[in-house]
Parts: sequence; C-alpha cells; structure tokens
Amino acid sequence: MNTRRITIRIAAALAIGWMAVPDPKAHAESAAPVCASCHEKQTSSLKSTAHGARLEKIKNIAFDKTCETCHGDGAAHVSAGDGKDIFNPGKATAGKASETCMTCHSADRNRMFWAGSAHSGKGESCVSCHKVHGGNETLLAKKTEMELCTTCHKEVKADLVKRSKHPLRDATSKSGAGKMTCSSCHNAHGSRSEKLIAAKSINDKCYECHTEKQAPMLWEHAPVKEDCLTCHSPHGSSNNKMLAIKVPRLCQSCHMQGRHQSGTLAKNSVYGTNRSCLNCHAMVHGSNHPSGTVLQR
Amino acid sequence: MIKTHQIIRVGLSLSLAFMAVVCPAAAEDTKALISGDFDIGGRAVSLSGSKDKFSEYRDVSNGFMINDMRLSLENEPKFYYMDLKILNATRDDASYGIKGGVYGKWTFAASFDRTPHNFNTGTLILNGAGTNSLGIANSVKTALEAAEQTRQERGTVARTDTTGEDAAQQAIIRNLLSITDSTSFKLERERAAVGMGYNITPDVKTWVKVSQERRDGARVIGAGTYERYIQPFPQAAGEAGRLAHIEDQFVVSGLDLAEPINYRTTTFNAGGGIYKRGWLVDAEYTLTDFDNGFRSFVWSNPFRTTDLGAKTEAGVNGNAFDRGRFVNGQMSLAPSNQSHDVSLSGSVELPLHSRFTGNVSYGMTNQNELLLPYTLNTGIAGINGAPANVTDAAALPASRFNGEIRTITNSLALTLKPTEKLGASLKYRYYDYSNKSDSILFPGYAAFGESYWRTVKNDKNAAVQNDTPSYARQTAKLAVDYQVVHPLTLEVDAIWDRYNHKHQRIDSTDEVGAGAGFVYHPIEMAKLHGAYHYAHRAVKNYKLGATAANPEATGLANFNWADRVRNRADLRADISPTEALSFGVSGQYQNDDYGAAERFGFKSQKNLIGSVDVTYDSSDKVSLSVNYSREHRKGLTQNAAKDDAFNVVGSALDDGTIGDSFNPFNYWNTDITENVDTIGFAAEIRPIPEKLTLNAGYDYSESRMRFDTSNPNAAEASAMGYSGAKLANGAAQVWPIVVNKTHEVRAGGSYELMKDLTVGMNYLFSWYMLNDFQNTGAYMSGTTPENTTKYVATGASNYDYTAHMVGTYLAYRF
Repeated sequence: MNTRRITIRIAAALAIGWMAVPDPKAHAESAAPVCASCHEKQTSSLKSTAHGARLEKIKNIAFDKTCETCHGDGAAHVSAGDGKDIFNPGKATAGKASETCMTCHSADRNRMFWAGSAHSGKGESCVSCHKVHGGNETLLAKKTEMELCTTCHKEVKADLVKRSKHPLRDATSKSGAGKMTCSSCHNAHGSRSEKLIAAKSINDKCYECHTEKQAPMLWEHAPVKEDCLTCHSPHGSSNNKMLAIKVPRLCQSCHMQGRHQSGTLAKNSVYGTNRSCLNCHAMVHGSNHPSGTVLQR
Repeated sequence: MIKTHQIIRVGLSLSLAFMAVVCPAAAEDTKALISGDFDIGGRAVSLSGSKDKFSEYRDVSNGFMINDMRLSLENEPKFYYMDLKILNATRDDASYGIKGGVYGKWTFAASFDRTPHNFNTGTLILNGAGTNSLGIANSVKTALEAAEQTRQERGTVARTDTTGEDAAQQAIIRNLLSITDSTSFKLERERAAVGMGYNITPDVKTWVKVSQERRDGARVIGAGTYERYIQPFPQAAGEAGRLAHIEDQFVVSGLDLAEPINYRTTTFNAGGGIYKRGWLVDAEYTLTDFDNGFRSFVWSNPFRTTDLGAKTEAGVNGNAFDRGRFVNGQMSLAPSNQSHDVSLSGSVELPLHSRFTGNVSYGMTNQNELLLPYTLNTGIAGINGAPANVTDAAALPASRFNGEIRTITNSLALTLKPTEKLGASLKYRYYDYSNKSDSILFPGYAAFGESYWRTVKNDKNAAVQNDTPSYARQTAKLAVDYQVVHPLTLEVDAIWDRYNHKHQRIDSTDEVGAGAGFVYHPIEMAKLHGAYHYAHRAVKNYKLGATAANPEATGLANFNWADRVRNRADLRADISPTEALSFGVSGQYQNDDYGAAERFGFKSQKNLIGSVDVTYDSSDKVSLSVNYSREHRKGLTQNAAKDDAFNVVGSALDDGTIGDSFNPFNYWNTDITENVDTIGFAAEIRPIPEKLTLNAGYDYSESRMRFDTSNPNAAEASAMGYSGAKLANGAAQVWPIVVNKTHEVRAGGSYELMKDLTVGMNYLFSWYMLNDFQNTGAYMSGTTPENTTKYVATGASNYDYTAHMVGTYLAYRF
C-alpha cells in the first residue's frame, strides 16, 4: 500500500475542505426562538443532532417547528408558562413515547418488528436508549453501543472481558469500542428472528462473517447446522474459542461411543490437552473428505 | 480481484471528486457547511509476554498514527452531503468509510475495513504455513522412520520403550523444535463494500450493495490417531471369567498442522420497497459467493518415508496397531459455495392500535466441490477390501457431493393495543432447514490414521453413508401485558417451540412454557422489573443407543435434544434519587435439568448472576460509574468409561442388562463450577469545564473454573478390590483449577489549547494471565496410558502478557 500517496490525498482533501470552511454554528441561530427562550440548553443541543440538522432537508420541517414535531402544539404550554400542557416523551409511558417516534420512524424496514419486540414488550421505549437532545451520532444515550446495551445486559458486560470473545471492546481506542458492535448481530428495534438477531436465524447471522461454515458438508456434525450456540457462547467465554463448556467435557456431554471418548482423562492426556478431542477430530464443523466420517480430515 | 490499495484509492478519489464539485460552490455559498475533525498522535507500547493475545483483534504498533479523521460536507440548496470517516489510517485495523448523496433522494456509501485476528505463535516443524502443502526435509523423515518402534517390538504395554527407539525419536523431535523458527498463526480480514440507494419517491426506496471480503492466514489444526492395546487386569475378588481390557493409547504419530486460510466472500444485495406510515412492503435478494482458494491441503508425515497399512499384533495386515504410516496426509477444507436468498416483508397498521408484520424468505445454498480421493496412502491399496486404486478419486462412487440446502422462513407478528392499559402480541415463526444433498453410500473409508480400510461407519456396523440432517422449527409466543393500577403492569406469556428432525437421532422435540412478570414504577425515580419463566421440553422417539442408527451409549441423551425442564427468574431494580445519580441491582437465575430418565450426558446447568452498578453523572464536572457482577455457573455431566467385560459376579452393580459396555463401577460424574467476578470503574472529571478533562478507568475480571470428577459407585468398586473405578481411565481425575485473570487500568487527560484544538494523552496498563493445564508445550512425553510420545504440538499456547501503552494525540474540530 502506498501510504505516502494516501496521506497526501487525505491532506489535500482536508486542505480543500479547510479553505471553504464557514462557521457551522452560524447556521442554526434562528431556530425555535420561542422554545429557546426558556429551554436554551435543549434547543441548542438539538441543533447538532440528526433531527436538528436534517429534518428540514428530509421532511421539509423548519427547525423552528422541530420542537413541536415531538412535543406537540406548544401554544397552551407557552400560555400557561409552567411545565404543564406539553407532551414530554421522556416522561410519558413507554408506549406513548415510542408512538411519538414511530410517527416518522415506522416507515422503516429496520423498525418493522419493533411492536411486540423484546424491548418494546418489556416496557422499554425509544427514549430508554436514545437521547433526542444530544447523544452520540445515532442519538444513543451513551458514547458507544456496547456501553449502552450493557447498562442493562450486565451478564454480557462481564462476558466481554473474558478469555475469548468477539472484538466488541478495545481499550486501546479512544472510544473503547472494538471492531464489532452489538448491532453487528442484533437489531435492538426488533427482528424476525429470536434474541433480536438481525438475520433469519442465529446460524444465518454467524454465517455472515463465518461463511465457510455455511455449506452443506458430506459428513455433518448435526448440532452445528442446527444452532451454533449449542457449543459456543458468542458474547464471551472463559474457555478457548468461546466454547460454552471446556473440551473434552463439552464433547463428552454427547459422545461416549468408544473407549477414549469415555475416559475421565488425566490432566496430561493427549485426549484432554492441547485442543483435546480436536487434536484428531479437527473437522468438528463437518468434513467434505470421503474418509472424513469421524470428522478427522 | 479487488486489492486494498485500489479500494482506498477509489474511496479517496471519490471523496476528492465530490469535494472538487461541492467545495467551490461551498466557498461561494455561505449556507454550505464543511465540518469535521481529525485526531493524530503517537503511541509507545511496552509489552512482555504474548503480543498475539494483547493484539488479538487490533494493531498495537508503535509510532505516529492518524487515529481518527472525519470530514462532513453539506451543500444546502441541493442538500448534498458527504461524510468521510477514517479510523486508524494505514494500520492493520484501519477502517475507511465514505457516504454521501442528497437527503431524501439518493445515497452512496463505500467502505474498507481491516481486522486482524492474531491467534498465537508456536513452532511448526513442517514448512509452508499458509500454503496448501506442508513439507519437511526427507533426511528428518528418514531418521524418524528409522527410529520407529513397531507393535511387535513394543510388546504388550504401549509406553514401554523396549528398543530405545522412542527415546531416539524424542531426541530428534526435540532437536528439531529447538532449531525451528516460530510461526505466527493469524488471519487478516479485509472487507470492501459499496452501495447505493435511490428513492424513487419519498416512500419508494431501492438499494443495491456489493461487498467482498478477503481472509488470508493460517491457524493450527490437528491430525492424529491412536492404537489399541489389550491390557491385562488383575482378577478381582469374586470375579470369574474376567477378560482383558482394551485401551486406546496414543502412541502413533500425530501433529499440529497449519490450516491455510484463503477465503473470498462476495455478497450482492439488492431490494426495494414502499414505506408508508401505515403500511410498508419490501423485497430483497441476496447472493453470497464463498470461494476457498484451497479446497484441501497436503502435509508430509514427518515420521514416514514409505506408505504402509496397519498391522495386527502378529505383524500381518490388520487394524489395531502400527497405524498412521502414510507418507502424505490430505485434509479437506471448507468447500466453496453459493447461497441465494429472497425475502419479502410487509407490515400494516390495523384498527385498535394494532399492527401485523410478516416476513417470508426462501434460501438455497449449494456446494458442488470435487471430492478428494479416500487417501494418499498407497499402503492400504487392495488390502481388507480397499479398492486397488484407493488413492485415485476415480475409486469413489461419486465424483462430487451435490450438496444443497433449502430454507424457508416465515415470521409473523400481530400486536394489539386495544386500550391504553392492555397490550398483546402473538408471534409465529417457522424455519425449515431442508437438506437436499446427495446421500452417498461408500464401500468403506480410510480409517485409523488412513491405515486401514474400514467398511463400517461406527462400532455398531452402520453403513458408510452420509446423513443429510434436516429440521423444521416452529415457535409461537403469546404475550399479554395489563396495567393493573397506575404504577404496576403485569405481564404473562406462553410459548411453544417445536423441532421436527429428519435423518437424525430424534424425531421431534416439543417445548411448552409459560411465564409471568411485572413492571413496578411507583415513582419516577424507581423502577422494578421481575419475571419468572418455566418451560418443559419433551422428546419424541430418541433412537435407542448402541445401535447402528445411534452408536452412542444406551441412556445417553445429547443435551440439545434431551428432555429439559427450565426455570428462570430475572429481577432488576433501578433507582435514580437525582437526575445525576442512579443505582441498579439485577439478578438472574436459571436452572436447566436435562434428560430426566437418561443415565448419561449433560444433566444440569445452574446459573446465578448478580450485579450492582452506580452511576453519577453531573454533566458539568464529574461522571463516575462503578459496577460489580458475580457469576456462579455449575454444570453436571454423568458419564462412564467403556468396558469390554463388565460382569462382576457377586456385585449388586453387576448390570448385565444395559445392552452395551458401561459397567456401573466405571461411572463417573463431573461438576464444572465456574465463578466469575467482574469489576468495572470509570471516571471523568472536568476540573475546568470545556477545557481540562481527566479520565480514569479500571476493569478487572477473574474466572475460576473447577472440575470435580467423582465415581458415584466408588465404594462398591473398592469393596470389589478396585481403586475408585474398575478401569484406570474411569477413575476420578484431579484437574487443576483453570484461572483467567485480567486487569486493565486506563488513565488520560485532555486540554483544549484553543477553541476546537485539543491535546491529550492516555495510558493503558493491561495484564492477562491464563492458567490452563490444557495449554501444553510443543512436545509432550508423558507417562499416563493415554499419553503419547509422538504427538508434536506447536506449543502455541502462551497467552499471558503485561502491556503498558502511552499515547498522545492532537485533535482538531472544524
């Protein structure tokens, strides 16, 4: 890779951009003047969000009308001059809060299964996770998805620092986020599958990155194609390869056909050490070899 | 083939071209916006121990870095926009992305991402890692073969070195390991993607996306086999007609190899739909093409220069001894394949705040890879019924497998909210996995280290024919919630989950369950959730064990197919006395009991997880969070060592009716108990708001896993003169506790030098320790009956590390 050339191009791009810089903050000064007179902090923080910046461009709703898009007609509230007579999704019931957001966001394939989903059905609403007056790029209430989701899913938070796990966290990065996010696998807004998996099934989600496991094999290991989670704990495990149980005990849970499979196995037995059963039965995900009957090659 | 630099060039060129068009306009038009930020810096890492583990999915190299770069352009009159985002530029974990378009009209996006996966570093005595051919010098093979101790020489006890040849072989291997350079086992993953979306009208949208992923590297994979030894047993008191016992011993060659990874996955996705507020409908098509550059790999057996078949104890052609004597071995790899998926979705609002949503999809996956020959070992050609041309693929009954899977998925959901207080949802999901692949009847296969032609698939004489397992799963769930009084909502649900299987050991499983829960929200600052669920899974027609159809022990149930009773309870309380302060407490209990009437297998799993967390977030000055969680997991497996002669006359445990060879004297159970403690702490202090920020964090995790193995009938066995169990390999073993520990300390600070220009530094201390008895050195030379003198591992098992990382950065926002 020609690093120098890339660096020059990036620098050129930045330079061109820099020369043309107007002050972005100057853009939205006239916004929502009535609301801002009392709620300056909220209107100010809204400006830089997707709602504040793009509603006019996408929905043709002027910024000074943005507040009423979610909070409803504010005339009575302004007249009363107190906290009443205004709808606040943050303080409304979960159903009402979500209904407000769904006014615009229901016409979206990613939220098609929101109603009755695991989160919606548990009394959570859009504002349980999203901070409309701020938040991160996608208005999440925390800096990263992982941080947000593990606010409630504590057992997952613990899994993410175990011996083997997917790269959801990275302490060397400024945000702490790794290469994957929770939404790499899950759709928090509901899905057609179980566990909010954003695919037809758990296995179909795994195949998106582990495509080599997808094909039918000459010699199948039946649990593999049925559910990867029979053997793996995808959020993290204290065992190698995110295995749910340490080998050989994992294999011995289901196999006691012969002699070496059924022993207690001493701590320095070849059957139990290194990769244990997989020292010889390496093709546990299936074999395409005519002599791969017992998943050895 | 798309290459990395081409992708980056295309992406950057697109962004430059876009800016070239937009920027001049932006300069003239005060409403145009250009914003962005960049973050550059340097980093120094001091590491001792396993770099692979520390940098498992990341590049932690030293030096200057472009950490983060973002550029956003918007041109208001036409609502053009473009976002360029670069993370970790030019590094092995770099990510580049650009997207743009016209709001509400069309979009384009391109991205390129690199993710390393560093497995470990070890010693591979073969050369050619990462290729499909692993070799070794003939002189080494000759020396090792010359020092081979045959069964006839070895005598009746496997580990006896009667000729001194075992010692000679060990010396050669140890020397080889000492002079061989280490091999890094790793995988590089690069993914490039482009996509476009076009809105024909605000409600009618279409899209197309193409991505290609490259994965290259090598990982450890093993190959080995065992031999059978008839071991004499002392006659126990009262025992008559005792037979000798057969043991599987690991005295033949086995070794860790490097599996080459050379994958290309291309995905094409296109679709479109109509998205109205009250209803929507869409369709999409996805093609996935997986291409494996290596359909197999061949390795040179370091112990052999000449092909031979296995022998009997008497030294004639047979099965049990002198296995694994092939010159070259061949292993198949993941076959190239293609999959197609068509999906139709729709959703419609109904009266009474109801909504119906549905999805139907049809998928097909094919692989038609040419089959490899049975073996490359010419030593078994024509022996024991093996074809004379056994090393030629022409000897196979089929040249290709014709593998095909068809899936049909159907998800339907009806949700109702007839009144403000009452809500209900009914969901149904159907997933049919139908395996239409060929079922090929083979005359036999090269077994036991490719040294014997075996004409049965298992010990119960099943024909050598591949199964084509299929299943269909149906799940239905009804959930109702009702707000009884203002702060209290009750929830009830019922679930039914059925699997129908074909060509597997069971016909079907039916799970029914019910649950109840509540949400109690008495005041705005406090919320309590609780739920309890019960489910029972019943199994229909689990095939009898010790048969050709199910060769496993009678009384063994695979836990994923076993009868199961599940009890689960969840509780979570959140209290926020002030807007800034919140406390959370949660607990989870789950108890799974498997295979009620079954004797063997995974019998139970109990999990108890509790956590507490406190967050304080005063947005101006301080934010703090601390959490602690404790997991307790306990699983029980019941098992037994196989015995060829289990009758013990005079014992109440002389169970001659079991039907196969599992004597109660050899029963053993294992309790696996794991306790995990996790602590997290994070603090951010802003002594000078919007100027100086200091942060610190700490994460700690410790897992301790115990394996308590016991013989439930040890007392009876002892009374008959045995120690714990009748067989040595059935006696309880003490495994050391497996300990995983990690500490991570983070500290940093940033100071805003001037408006939008920030300088900062950060420090990371990361420490990991793994104490796992399974992680062996490259070469074992043990003494137990199950141990070997010939399995050559890579020793790629060092995961411990201590790392310090200091970084500085300069961030500018514009």
